[in-house]
Amino acid sequence: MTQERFGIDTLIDGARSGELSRRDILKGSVALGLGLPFGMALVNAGSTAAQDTMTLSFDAGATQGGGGRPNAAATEYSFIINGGSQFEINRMVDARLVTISADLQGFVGDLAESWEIADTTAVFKLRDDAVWHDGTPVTAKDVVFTINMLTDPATTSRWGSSFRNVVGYEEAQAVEDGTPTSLSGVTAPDDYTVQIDLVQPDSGMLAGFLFISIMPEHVLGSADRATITELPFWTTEERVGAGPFKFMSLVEGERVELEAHDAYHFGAPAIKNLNLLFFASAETSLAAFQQGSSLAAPMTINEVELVGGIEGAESIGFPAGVGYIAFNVYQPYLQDKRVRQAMAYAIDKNTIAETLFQGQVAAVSTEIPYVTWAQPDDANPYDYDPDRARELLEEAGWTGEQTLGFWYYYSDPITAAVMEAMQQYLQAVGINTELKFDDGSGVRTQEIADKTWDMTYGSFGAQPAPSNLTAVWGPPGYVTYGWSNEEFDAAMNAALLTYDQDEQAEYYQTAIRILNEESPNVWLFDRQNLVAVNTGKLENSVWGPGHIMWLNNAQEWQVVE
Amino acid sequence: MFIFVEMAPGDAVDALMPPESLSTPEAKEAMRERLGLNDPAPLRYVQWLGRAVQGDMGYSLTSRRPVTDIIMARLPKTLLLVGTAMVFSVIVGIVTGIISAIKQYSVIDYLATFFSFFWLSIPGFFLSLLMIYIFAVKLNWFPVFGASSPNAEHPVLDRIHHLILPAAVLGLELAAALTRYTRASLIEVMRADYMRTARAKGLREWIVISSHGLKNALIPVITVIAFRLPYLISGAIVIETVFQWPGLGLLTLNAANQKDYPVILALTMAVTILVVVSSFLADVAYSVIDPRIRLG
Repeated sequence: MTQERFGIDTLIDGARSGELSRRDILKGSVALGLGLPFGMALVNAGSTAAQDTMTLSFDAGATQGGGGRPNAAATEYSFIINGGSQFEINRMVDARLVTISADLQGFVGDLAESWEIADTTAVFKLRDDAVWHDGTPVTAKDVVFTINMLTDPATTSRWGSSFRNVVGYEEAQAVEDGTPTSLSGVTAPDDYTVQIDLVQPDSGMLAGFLFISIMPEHVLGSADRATITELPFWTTEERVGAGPFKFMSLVEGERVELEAHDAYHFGAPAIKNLNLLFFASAETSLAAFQQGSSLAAPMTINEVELVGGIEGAESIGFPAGVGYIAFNVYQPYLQDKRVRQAMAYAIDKNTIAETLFQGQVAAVSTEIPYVTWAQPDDANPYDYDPDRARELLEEAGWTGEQTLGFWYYYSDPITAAVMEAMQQYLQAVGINTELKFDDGSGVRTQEIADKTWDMTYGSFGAQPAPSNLTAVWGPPGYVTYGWSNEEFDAAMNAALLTYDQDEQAEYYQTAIRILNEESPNVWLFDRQNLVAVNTGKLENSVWGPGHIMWLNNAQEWQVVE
Repeated sequence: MFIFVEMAPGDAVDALMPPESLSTPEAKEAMRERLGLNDPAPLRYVQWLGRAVQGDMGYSLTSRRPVTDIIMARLPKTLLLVGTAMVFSVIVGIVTGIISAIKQYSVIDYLATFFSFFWLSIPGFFLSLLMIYIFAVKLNWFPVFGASSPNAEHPVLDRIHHLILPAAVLGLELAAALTRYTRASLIEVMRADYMRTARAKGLREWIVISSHGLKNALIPVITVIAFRLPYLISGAIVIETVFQWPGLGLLTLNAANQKDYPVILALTMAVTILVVVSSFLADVAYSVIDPRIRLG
């Protein structure tokens, strides 16, 4: 049998004409069957070699992903209700007014070129060169529309309450008949100026804009706000944003395909096609990275060695918030601060940081380690001291009979090991705990609603000022941990009312001292998220805090061979 | 299924706004009201049923997309995966079983027995990871994940290329089971009187086996195939997750985690239909193989 007979057509023709014997046909079929994978490998290699295409992997978060992300993220494609794992899409497709600097020390402009905030008035000057993906200029009307749409009670957006200090917010909330609402305190004096009038000064207001994608008024302005999240807009080529990449298509369950927005206000992206993959399995995500199918993927400390062995690959860490144990102070046995302080002394966080986290994270004793100006220098570091822990427990009359439910919701193996280590440290001083993993089934949520939970290991988001401390312990009470303190509330409120950083520092330090002494939680680690990046092929990528692509430099990324 | 979802703690709003998302209780309550989750459960079920019988499966509570769109985008991919695994396992399983039975106690029989038990014993997720490591990462013959490549030049070949590993993993266990059943069934049939009669008539051995032996031996095997189909679909949840195959399995897992009951109910309905259809096909196959079972 000659070489040219190894084709499907030749085989079929040969069989029909009787030219080929049954043995020849069998041999040809076997050869084709064996050759198929090799042929496919070649086809595949050809389709992934393009230099203007980049593929990045993300942890879908909804299942057992091991990227160290919380377990309960939902897949909602607009950012209006949840955001969650789809934040990465919004980061690429949309623009915001402001974003955060790489060193976490301040805010930098995105659509806003400059801003002035004084007393109860904030004025944002917008860039005049920003355009939507359909070519329409981005104007102040879009910002006004976005805030009005999010604060409309019909939209039921989780971000609406970010603007509760804006004049007209309360009035808008009172509208019940579905009439589209607008805030009297949000106006556009001209095409490139947005003025926001506040009820009272708010030094934390810029932080409220970090997650707010500005949406196109000319596309969504007439949409019914009650059903706005159900529009095909969010998942089809109708999607219009002002970010570096255009939304091209959602390949159901596989990827989101984006294309460069050449008129992007920070410059045309060097990468022409960007594919975002969302993995339910961390192992598969990393295998895809190892194979070269994606240039960046979430990873854990356990995989540092593996990633180091991949040609051109590097493990890059970026801040992921401060790990802590929060207590449910509604529980009578957790109301004595000495019990909580005892737990802070009982856990050897330095050893855990050095061993289990392999030195990739630092132990901390206050909330936002990056914001040095707001930190008191006399805070108790709660260095490991099991004897002191035992003394405090004895003084508090701790009997050791109680077993505390100890929740955690990060699904990576490192967290599981850290939880076991903390359990043993606590047991050594006489505190018994039962580790409970939140698999998203709702049991922990129910316990929180019923106030029957005991303690949770979680993490506190990183931002330039600790204004978000009020979100947990302040009067608005998003998450009621049962702890409140009037002095703390007064200090935090005073910090929010002034724009002078020295004054803010004084108030924040007072508030943090109170938290440090009262210990409604134990601060543990400056957590790092790790991402495996093929820096041999992907150049100029900067990895930001919190979510992977926080920073505005996507236009500078380059894929090289 | 609706009752089970209702009995589980938490709801879709907890998935959309988890405790750490710093959403106000008022925002959560407004969202519950908007999604209709504050209505009594029986009323919600009746409302859902009323729309479902008209073909309107509603919107996903979490992704806010029409459930029909989501399922119709994924159903063909699961059918392709399960169907390919089924065809693969039937061919490999029955052929190996026949050879094993004919060559009983030979080296081939021992090897087939060894591999059957091996594939039956090895957990699907582990085998998946092993296959990914060897054939995708090390040898780079196949893609690690997904059902397609972006901008593939040959979409059909690209789909086949993505299909081979997950279908093989999913099919191997059923193939192993079919090997065992076919072997046992055929060995039993080969001892039957009518087989001796067929041989006594002077028929060639392969005609004896194929016309007289196989037809009788395959009846229990078809039952196994029919009843394994639901198992294949449930097995696809694990395989689809590991291979990131965008089918119903992965969707089921996400919907269950998010208490997204419109999606869960629609998925249950889709799987029920698949199982009923497969049982019907099994009945048809019985009648094709065994004239005694034919209607009329």
